[in-house]
Amino acid sequence: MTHPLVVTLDKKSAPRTIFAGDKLVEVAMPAGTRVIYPRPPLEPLKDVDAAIRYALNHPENSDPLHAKLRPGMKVVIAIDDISLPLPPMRRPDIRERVLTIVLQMLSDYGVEDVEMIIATSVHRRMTGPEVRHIVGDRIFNAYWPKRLYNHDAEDPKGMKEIGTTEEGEVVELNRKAVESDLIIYVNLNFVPMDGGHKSVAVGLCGYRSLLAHHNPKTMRQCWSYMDPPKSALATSVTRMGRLANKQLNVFTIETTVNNRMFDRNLDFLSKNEDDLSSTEKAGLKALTYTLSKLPQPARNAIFQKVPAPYGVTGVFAGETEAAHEKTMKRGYEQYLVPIKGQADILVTGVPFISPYNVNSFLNPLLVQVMVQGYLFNLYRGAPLVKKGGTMIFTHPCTDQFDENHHAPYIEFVHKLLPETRDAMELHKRYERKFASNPAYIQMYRTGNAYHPAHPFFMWYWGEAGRQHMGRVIAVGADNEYIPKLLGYETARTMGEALDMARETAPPSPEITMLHVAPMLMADVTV
Amino acid sequence: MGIDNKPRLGLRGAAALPANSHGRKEVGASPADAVGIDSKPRLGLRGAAALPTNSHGRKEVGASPADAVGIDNRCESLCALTSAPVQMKNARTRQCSPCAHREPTKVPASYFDVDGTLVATNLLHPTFFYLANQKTPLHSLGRIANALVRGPSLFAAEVWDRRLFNEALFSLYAGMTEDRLLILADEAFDTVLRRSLFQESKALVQRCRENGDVVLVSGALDFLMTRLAKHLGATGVIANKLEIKDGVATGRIQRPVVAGPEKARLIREHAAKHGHDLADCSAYSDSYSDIPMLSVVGHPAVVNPDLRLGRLAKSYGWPVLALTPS
Repeated sequence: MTHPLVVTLDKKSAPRTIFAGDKLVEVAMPAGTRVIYPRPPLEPLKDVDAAIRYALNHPENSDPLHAKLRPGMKVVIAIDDISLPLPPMRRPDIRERVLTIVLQMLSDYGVEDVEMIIATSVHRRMTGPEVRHIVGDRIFNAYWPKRLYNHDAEDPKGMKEIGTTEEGEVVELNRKAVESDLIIYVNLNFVPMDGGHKSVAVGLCGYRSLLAHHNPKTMRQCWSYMDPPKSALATSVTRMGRLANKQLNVFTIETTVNNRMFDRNLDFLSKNEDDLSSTEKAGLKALTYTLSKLPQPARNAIFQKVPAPYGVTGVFAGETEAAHEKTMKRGYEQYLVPIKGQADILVTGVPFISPYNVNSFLNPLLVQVMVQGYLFNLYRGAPLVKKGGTMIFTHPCTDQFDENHHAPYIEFVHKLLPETRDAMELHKRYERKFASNPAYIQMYRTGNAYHPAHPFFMWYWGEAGRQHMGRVIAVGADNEYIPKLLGYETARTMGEALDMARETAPPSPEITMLHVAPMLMADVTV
Repeated sequence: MGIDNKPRLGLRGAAALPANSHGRKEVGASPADAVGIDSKPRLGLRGAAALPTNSHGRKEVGASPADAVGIDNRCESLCALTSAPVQMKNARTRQCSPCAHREPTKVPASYFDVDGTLVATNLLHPTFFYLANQKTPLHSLGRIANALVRGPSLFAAEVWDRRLFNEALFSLYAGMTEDRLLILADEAFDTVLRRSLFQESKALVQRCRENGDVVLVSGALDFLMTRLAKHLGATGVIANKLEIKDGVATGRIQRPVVAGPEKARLIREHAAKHGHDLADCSAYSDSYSDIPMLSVVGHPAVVNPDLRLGRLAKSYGWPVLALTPS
């Protein structure tokens, strides 16, 4: 018997409404298509502050936080950046609530030397208003920018190597954190690949350390990113994180949120279209129509500027691995939908946002990240699509970039991808030189641009999906050259795309649709 | 960084300089047109008499090692001063003795416009410094008054053509002695240029230097640019150079005038001479008038761009850097 969230369509089924960037599109799917819907949001904690205090005082496999404190010690609090959650959380962000309690505790125990670092790794620096959004006014006004600032992986004096793992991975971290007496990491876990050792070992590291695992070889051995025991990326990060934890005094605070991306009045976005009430149907139609008529900046504003009403579902603290184990369990509880059997053709909508375009545009490279990186990887067990299968997605693939946030992406897409799409070749021939481009590094260090190595990482992010899938077809692209650059075919309609996919699929192909957003993960058994 | 602080008078004294067909002695006109920067000011050692003389009896600022520049509107690499191998990043080693200087290399170069790109000032600021620091306050007043009278024509020249502006502006130097120009150069640099450097300029230049050579390409005067190059750690300078006759500036600048499209040509020439592959080179500027210079390299970038350049950079997806005034 299939899970209630896996719906098999019949001839009478209504069209499915899925995202195509910042628009919604109706697509008619053939009878027999399996559609996987997200789980309803988990019930949030009733008293979040009490849960935070409880976690700090009853941590996993560690002394309580207060027992680690002594007057005069140097404490660095590292904080997850704005890439989580998506879209940003309605205030107060859970990080603000954790920080408020932690800072009060530090003050009570006479700890005054406190600095807070946004653990951006090679992500873009967060702007002042963005930092204010996640830490709140009081903390922001008291600490920004001298004692609350963005990590700078390219500050020659700001990084310190602390050792090398048995596999030769260099662990180089933020010097302030390394030289502190205690690192408190305040995490927000959105998907199962977040948190754990990734927090310190990636969030506070630089390009040298990222080279160890953000490369095509490692990415090809991830089945999937969301299933850490089967991810070479997670394995490498864990080795590096363990080395860091051995040498540094790390206290981890992890938090989980439910998948309430949209307000209750938009609940219809995650429901079976056949089960919608007449009001919900009207609401969905009206939203679809409105979005189709609005200009792009207005659509972007609607989705990006309205924070999401996420509910906090868990707070876990203590030793990194022990706390993370609980986090993972809660995450899977929210996201996993069991499904039996892989698909020959996987269909999905690509929404307007990824971890790398908060407050900007989902550019072509990020479309690739979403398709072959995140959406393909939303599974545990086996990939949702069979080896050599076809993935069909809906997105306009517009050739548009945020020239501030994604400056190095532009050159990557328009100068390097025309040379080759081969991730190995890009890695070997171009990455090092590109990653040391002084102009882009300056933009990363003092502007709000991603590090020049980041577009390469984004391309590698899709590597496992690229190696696994036979074809990828973009439906509704507003141009042909961007999909071609990314290695995709194009179709005007879903029907046309399905006909194309059937040409290379076995007779009576298994068609499965992943109905995101909100977030879900397929727990696939073959 | 390839900069040798020791004077090498014996290597490149005026007498050692080759003469061109007009009898001019020009730095950079010989295989050893490897005149660079000597960090020690030696102005007091040599007056105008020590300068090389061309066929018209004109002495050229910077044409001798004494003034430590020697530019003649073409690049002079600082690293050329040293005979020791220059250790480049990634284990690239080059022999930079004057005779080996021309060996083709595949080290990229970064070409920087200066005014508005690395410093917040423009050509007017150092010019005003010189006008205000004449022999007597009366002389200074006279020169400033003269400059003010010519203000509208300068403005018109700037609007019309950057090259015309440069020529009009540098005509204000007419009658200043070379000694005064050079003696005041350190102070002008300290007072005007160093204080106006953007906060991130030095770090940016140094990062470029890790990747290869760094050349300042500016319409400003050579003796100021060499000081700036040394301060920033740049390896070369392409700058304008005043014409000197009998130890006095004529108010003309030597050809070719470093401005607009000419910068692009000089960069091409420099790259060819030094074995840089332009596709690997970078260029940085703040001004739309430098589009030709930005267009000849593989990696253009704009710094605090003017409106038109900003629009163009956006269209082409060029990196836009925002540097902060000190």
